[in-house]
Amino acid sequence: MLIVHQFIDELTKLFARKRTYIGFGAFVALQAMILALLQHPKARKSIADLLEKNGLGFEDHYMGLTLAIVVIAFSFTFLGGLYVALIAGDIVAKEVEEGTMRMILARPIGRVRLLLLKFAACMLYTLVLVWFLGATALVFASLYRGGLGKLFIFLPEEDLFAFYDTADGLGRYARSVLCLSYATLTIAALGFMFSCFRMKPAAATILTLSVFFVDVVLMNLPYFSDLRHWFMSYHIGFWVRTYHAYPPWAEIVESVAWLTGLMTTFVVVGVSHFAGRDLKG
Amino acid sequence: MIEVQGVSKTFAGRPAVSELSLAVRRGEVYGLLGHNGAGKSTTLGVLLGQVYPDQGGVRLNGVDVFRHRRAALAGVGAIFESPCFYDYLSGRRNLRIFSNYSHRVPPKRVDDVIEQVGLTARIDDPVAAYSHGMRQRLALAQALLPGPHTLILDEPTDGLDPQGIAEFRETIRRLNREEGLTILFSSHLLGEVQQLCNRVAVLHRGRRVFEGRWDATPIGPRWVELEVDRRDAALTRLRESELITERTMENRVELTDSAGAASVNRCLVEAGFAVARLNPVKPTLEDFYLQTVGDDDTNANASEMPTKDASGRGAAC
Repeated sequence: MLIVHQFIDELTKLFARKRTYIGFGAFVALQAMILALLQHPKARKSIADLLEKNGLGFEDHYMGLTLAIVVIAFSFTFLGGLYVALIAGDIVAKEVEEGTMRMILARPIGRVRLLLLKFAACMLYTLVLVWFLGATALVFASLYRGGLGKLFIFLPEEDLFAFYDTADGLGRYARSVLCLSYATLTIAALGFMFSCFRMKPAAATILTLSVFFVDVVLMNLPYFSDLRHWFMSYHIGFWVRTYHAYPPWAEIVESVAWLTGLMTTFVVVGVSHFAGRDLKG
Repeated sequence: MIEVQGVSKTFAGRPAVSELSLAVRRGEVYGLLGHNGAGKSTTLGVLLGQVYPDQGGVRLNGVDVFRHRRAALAGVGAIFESPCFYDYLSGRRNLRIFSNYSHRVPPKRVDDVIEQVGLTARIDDPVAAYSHGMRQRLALAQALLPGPHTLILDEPTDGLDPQGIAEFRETIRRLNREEGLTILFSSHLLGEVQQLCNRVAVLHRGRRVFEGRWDATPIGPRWVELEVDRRDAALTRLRESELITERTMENRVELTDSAGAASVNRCLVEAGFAVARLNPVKPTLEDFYLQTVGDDDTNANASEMPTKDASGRGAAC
């Protein structure tokens, strides 16, 4: 089918570019740095104190699964949004800027179909990037500590304190990475929307990051603590709530619905704008 | 066949194209002429469904571009000035990507077209390593791959060296002659248009000021090359007889409206001058274009200029 070939072509264009891999490389580097820093005696003592206060063994719980979550939480906050925004902001605007979009649109392909193919490629990139982050975090942390161990997670702002044995922890870890990858698609959709407007790719990326970071900052202000569920980043963080011993499924479903609605809105706005705009060399 | 009917387009309140109508017949090579900013690129953008007109419509091979985009563009190939490719991919991969936006093209056809444009040796190199001429040939290949019946060429020879221009011109001629392609050729290189095109349209400030066969249009000024003894005295005699104007250019003199080469010759011979050479100068497309468009001062109110058809009569756009 032609649409399959067109989708493969979009992936070829995306994955044949060196800059696409910057995110992967940066994640590996950051993970190594975080793991190295966690080796510092003060960091170890702080976690050991926390574990021992709660009657949990340091050697059992300060292992691959626990450290992988710490690594993901830090590296995603710093870099996840950035690299997804970088690729999503480029996906349409770069082609317009470089003139290849005009060549494509001299062809008998509809703009809506073209953009949906591009967003699908962008989604796949986002999913692969987050899964890569999840897999490498777990592998590196396990190699670093010599095994998966048991899972321990403590997040006071989410009222989350939980510990699981290896099998249960691994299942929950895999589920949370899947949830995080879905949540990250919202940032991809936001970047895609800006990319469809008449602006430089860098501007689309910066706008995406600006919206995301402003949302994170506002959500974390104490004044807005009662309004957290109105912020996009609150719902993006739903992956963490899956670690509760009894996950708040109603809240999780609400977050998924929010994110789905936001994604759909971003994509529809972007596609509608692009479909109606003039393209001129 | 390409039909543009009453198309107008305004960008930020400034008209780019005003009530433009064109008709390119099947199998002809048609030139679109105009200064930078005359509206050529906007016209091509509208033709390809990339620019939405404020009013008017466009049909390619009888199909409305904006209502049935896929069907209308199915038989069209386009080349733009400075063709853009994915530089980090090979020429062959680029061809695959662009042709897949039309339909799947068999590998044999891809190889044939690559050979036709003379890129076989370098087709698997990254496009980043291509010269401008090679990129232009790759652009031609991508335009030809889906087997179009119409080619739309926007300044395709810009930046090519003289040999590249000559090769490109010959390719266009061959495609028109052997494959019967309809070709719309937009350029400000008048020499190229003169050599390639059967008919032309001249755009000025978004309006069509001429459409038809430029060489069938009576245009002035009319010049003759004149070599004669006692040149200054001969020119004085011709002016006294109201056969030439005051304007001269090297060995050329401009005839008055009532004069012809024969009457000039008769006048000089009867006055005892020895005429060594008297040769009417055939007007070029450049002469025609400059006369049609004029300079900016004379066309400051171009929107009020009457348009002409090939017979030189005024015609509405």
